[in-house]
Amino acid sequence: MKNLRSKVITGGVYLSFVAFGFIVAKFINIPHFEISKSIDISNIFSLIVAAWLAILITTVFEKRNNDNRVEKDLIISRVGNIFDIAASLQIESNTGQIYHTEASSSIKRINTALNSIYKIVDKCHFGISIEIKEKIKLNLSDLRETLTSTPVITEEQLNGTQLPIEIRESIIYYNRDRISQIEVKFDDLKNLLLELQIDINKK
Amino acid sequence: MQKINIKISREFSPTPGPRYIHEGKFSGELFRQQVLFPKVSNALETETPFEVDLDGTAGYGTSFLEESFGGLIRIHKLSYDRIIELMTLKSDEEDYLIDDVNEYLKDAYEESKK
Repeated sequence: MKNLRSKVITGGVYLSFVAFGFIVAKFINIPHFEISKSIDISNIFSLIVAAWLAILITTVFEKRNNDNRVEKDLIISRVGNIFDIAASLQIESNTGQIYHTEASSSIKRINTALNSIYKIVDKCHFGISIEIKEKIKLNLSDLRETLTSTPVITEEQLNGTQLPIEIRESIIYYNRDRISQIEVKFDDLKNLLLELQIDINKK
Repeated sequence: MQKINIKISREFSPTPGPRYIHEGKFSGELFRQQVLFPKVSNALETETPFEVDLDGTAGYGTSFLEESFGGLIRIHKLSYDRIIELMTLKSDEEDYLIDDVNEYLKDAYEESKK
């Protein structure tokens, strides 16, 4: 119904253009300009072909643009999901303690989600710059290291030593310095994800 | 020759934990002692290639992998060259882990030479 209504409106617009042209031709006399009352059949044919090409090209390009827009929006929203995982992990780690499994699994989720996005982007034929991929990879590697890496140290050596990161009963505890380092890396990651969204949008 | 397969998610845990046993469940130290060292030392003795499959877990902390693989050289004094010769790593889900594990082995080897 909505489609029919839109077609009627479009037809009405075209008709009004023809009517407008007819009225203008009736009442306005343009000097030194004469319209021939006869027309060559080859001219009619070339006019029809030109009009058909114009409509075809416009329709094809419009459809392609619309398809690309939808694909880009979907991919950008998937990057947004990664942003949410990162934000939630940042909040958790900022409290100074986090379950070891939660930290490592969130990093894995981010990595696998990014890999899946890269594959989808390749399928859509608009590649992401290698530079940004490398920056994100490096950032995630650093973040994983900062979140989960504990030093090689025996239990005896551990007593009385102040470490930036400690694990007890599978819960990681960070000191203030380590929390600040983690915050910086999360901020970098968020900026890179935004950069990735902009990069995808520009393709 | 039959390859020895070590799938961490099936033979140890789908949720690998911290570095040391005293730090929590499913640690790298426990994995090395219970699974990795017996299988790798057997592989080295019998000249059998072995594959470590890292896929299927919830994710690895850096220390788990370092303690598991680096510990083979640091604690059990296994030969770095023989391990590299016979070992293949599988990690389709997180491909960067392969480079990480190779790096941990190399670092432990370099450290053992000092």
